[in-house]
Amino acid sequence: MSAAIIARGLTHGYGEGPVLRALELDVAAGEVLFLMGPSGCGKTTLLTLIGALRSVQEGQLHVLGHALHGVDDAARVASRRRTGFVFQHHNLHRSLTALQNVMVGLEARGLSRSTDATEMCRAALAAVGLAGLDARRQDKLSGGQRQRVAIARALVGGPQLLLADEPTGALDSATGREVMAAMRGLARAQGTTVVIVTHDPRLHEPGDRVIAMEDGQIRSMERELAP
Amino acid sequence: MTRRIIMLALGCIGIAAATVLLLRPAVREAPAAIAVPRVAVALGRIEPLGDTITLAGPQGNRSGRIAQLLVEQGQQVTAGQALAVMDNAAALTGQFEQARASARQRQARIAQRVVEMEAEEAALGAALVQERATRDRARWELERTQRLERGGVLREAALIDRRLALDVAEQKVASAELSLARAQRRDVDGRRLEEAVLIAEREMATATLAQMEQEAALATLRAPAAGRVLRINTRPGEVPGSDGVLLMGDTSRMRVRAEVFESDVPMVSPGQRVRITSRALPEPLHGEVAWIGLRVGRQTILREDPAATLDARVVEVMIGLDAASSARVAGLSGLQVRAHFGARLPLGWIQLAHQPGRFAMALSGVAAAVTLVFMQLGFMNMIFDTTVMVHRLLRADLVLVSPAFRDVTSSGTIPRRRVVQALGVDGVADAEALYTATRDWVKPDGERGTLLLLGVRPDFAAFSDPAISAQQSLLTQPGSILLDAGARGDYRAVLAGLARGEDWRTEMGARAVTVVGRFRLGSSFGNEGVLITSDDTLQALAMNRAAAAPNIGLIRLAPGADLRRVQAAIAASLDPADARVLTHAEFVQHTRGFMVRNSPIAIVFGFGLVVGLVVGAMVVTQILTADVQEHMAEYATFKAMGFSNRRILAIVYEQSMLLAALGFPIGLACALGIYELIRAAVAMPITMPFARVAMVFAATFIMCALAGTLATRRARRVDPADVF
Ligand SMILES: Nc1ncnc2c1ncn2[C@@H]1O[C@H](COP(=O)(O)OP(=O)(O)OP(=O)(O)O)[C@@H](O)[C@H]1O
Ligand SMILES: [Mg+2]
Repeated sequence: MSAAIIARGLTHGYGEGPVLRALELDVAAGEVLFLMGPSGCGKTTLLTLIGALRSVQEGQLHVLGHALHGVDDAARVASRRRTGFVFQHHNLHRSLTALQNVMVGLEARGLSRSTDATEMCRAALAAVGLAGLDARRQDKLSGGQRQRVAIARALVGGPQLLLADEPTGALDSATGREVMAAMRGLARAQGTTVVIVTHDPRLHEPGDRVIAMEDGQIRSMERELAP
Repeated sequence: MTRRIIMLALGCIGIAAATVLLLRPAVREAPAAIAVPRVAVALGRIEPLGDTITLAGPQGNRSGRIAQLLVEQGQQVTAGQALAVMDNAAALTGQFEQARASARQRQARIAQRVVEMEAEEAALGAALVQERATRDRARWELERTQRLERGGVLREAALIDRRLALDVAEQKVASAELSLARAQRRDVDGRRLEEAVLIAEREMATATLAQMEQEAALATLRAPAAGRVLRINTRPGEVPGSDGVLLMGDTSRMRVRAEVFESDVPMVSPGQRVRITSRALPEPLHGEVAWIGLRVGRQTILREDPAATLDARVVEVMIGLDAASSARVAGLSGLQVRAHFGARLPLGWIQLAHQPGRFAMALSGVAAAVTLVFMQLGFMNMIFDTTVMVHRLLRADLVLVSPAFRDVTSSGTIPRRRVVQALGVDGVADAEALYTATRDWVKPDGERGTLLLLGVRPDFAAFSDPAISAQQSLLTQPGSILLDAGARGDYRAVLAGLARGEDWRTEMGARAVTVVGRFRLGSSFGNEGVLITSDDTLQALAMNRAAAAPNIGLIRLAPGADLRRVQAAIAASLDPADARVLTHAEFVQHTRGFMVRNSPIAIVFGFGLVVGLVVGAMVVTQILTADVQEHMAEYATFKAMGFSNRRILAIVYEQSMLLAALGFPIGLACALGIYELIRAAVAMPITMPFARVAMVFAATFIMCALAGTLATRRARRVDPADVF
């Protein structure tokens, strides 16, 4: 199995001291990885680096076989197109319907090529349990539904990597579990590598890898066992 | 009239209101309409992003065949690298070597000759010394012989011999001096004459050498810049043709030149993602729309399908390939491909439509600017038009005016005999003098008004308005006048009286005048209206006017006469110091042009026009900037998902173009309504020529594009890392 993410000596800071300190990380393709740790330990920072939203300051980072250190803006844009993002807040466009929001995801990936683009987007919405809500705008959707639209948007077109930062953070636990299940379902169907930042250990499933971060470094790495 | 204006004004408001109201349902219906995006597919060709260079063979009579090609098609070359050698290279190199040897030989010859000449000079110097010694000796011998002869020791014959010997010696000295002087002669540079000649010859040989070197160098073709050899057009043994020896270009970045059907262009926008496929490519390439051509042309790349339409109209769209794709097709310049334009959501439109209040405000900003611009242009042209209203009323093919002529109220006078003279010119059917004067009179309400008085012989049809011609016979009665019904002031009672056949008496200066008829022209800024009378009445009313000094000569041509030729003939008979002859069109343009150039009107209204556009641009910028500001989070999210900067900016530009396209017709409708109101209120001509509509339409788009550009400044700074 090939590696989806390889980080070597990754160091990153915002001015006053490094937030990430010579971080080393390997994630295999198709793996589901949980990133846990105290607030401010650098989880989001790591995610933005893997997602090519920031440029690498020091160290080496390979994502989906492409180097992200010492590359230009165009290479970062290309990398983003191979990656899906789910944020703590849904970040849906308020003027767009659920279906249009998902289509934006497809357009960004450059894959919408025919009327089947619409079908792809509808299917993605159905896969997260939102069949029939295509024409709703976000103000007519519940928090969990909005987050599921965001997941459909992140996963439509089959990105090889999904990065999620506390995707259930703004939801109650029951809705959180539903959203998590929707995400896993779609990701598994497409063989997507998933990296999730969360504070909620109840979301883990057997076979997931759990990484504990502390002070910008990885403290421990373990695999969730069958109960 | 008033009812029509109210209807029009209501119509304008209706259009504006309907546009705004229609947007609300659009918000609801839009999703259904755009949920199924159509996609565009176009044919295209791959080419290098940079310019291609056609490398021509050497020019001139020394050009030859290609002897040897040093590169292959597809090969990467560096700047200055040798690409091909011409078959005359060896001959040219030989000639160069020969020239070099010749130059060297000249140099050596100079050195040699200088040494020789120095030696010759020394020898001549020595010879001179020798000859002088011989002469001194001969002189001494002669003196001694003379002394001896006086002593009677020697005979006279010996003395003669000695004298002869001295003469010979002196001649030899002179000759030796001359030879030495010749050898020592120098030119202005202090060089021996022969040396100067030799140096000139050497310089010529050096110049020939440089030329031969250049020609020999040209026989080897070198790459003018780094790049890849795209195509070889001339093989060894061939003479380079018009398409040169080879085609090269920078292939580090490639692009696709695609021909998109005109009808598909709305589905293409800058920054849009494009997938490129071809049978020759195992995997698709990816790129982005760089720019869309403005020109519509015929299709040049044809489908393999022979039944496909051949003369479809297409627009050229340039697609920049990303680095990875460029690398894959670096050697495939010219490959025919298909470009699949990804469906894209009309995000600009959706965002605008979702906020009808803001949309309406932006639209009214654009519409207000458009209206303002139309008003300024309308007023300005109205003023210019009123200055030539009377010109247009006069019926003449050619017009005689004074060199001082500006307009009918400031015209100067011409000698009457010039008008009479014109009658004698071939092709002139009729000519008559027109007198003008501005006079005050007492209006029906008792106030004074200044009017322009036109006086002409009543039996001469001087006016283009048939209503005037019909009433001119009434003017034979002294003191009778025709009144402009469009004159400023309340003449309703007078006009009503005229309609009943009652004349109106009033006074002008101290004289009584009678209004016996009417016509309609309208007031201008210079005077309240126009009165028409006979030449005699005018001279009586304007006391200082002499019959011999009219203001304008009206000339009409015989049928079939050539306007320009007659004009030239009259001009030839005139004294340019007292009259000029103009065609009627020149006559109108003369005054209009004078006003445009010499009045502040154009500047004042031009300023108002600029203010209108600037205010419009500011309103649109403000509203678009607010929209960008509000959507920063969404734009950051889009960027995180892989939208390029360009695609984000396209949203803003889409909005600004929509505002231009929708705001313009509203502004135009309002302007038309206002024009109508003005026409009714001030009795002045105000029109809407098509050129003006087109010009303001273009200005509106430029204004909105500028506003869009200003608004994108904020959008450029969107940071995708801000989404967390
Ligand atoms: N844009 C920024 N500018 C300056 N400092 C930042 C920025 N983003 C994060 N930091 C700092 O970097 C550190 C790590 O932040 P990060 O967001 O990666 O933590 P986190 O592990 O995601 O925390 P949380 O669990 O609270 O989300 C924090 O101390 C934070 O203050
Ligand atoms: Mg965080």
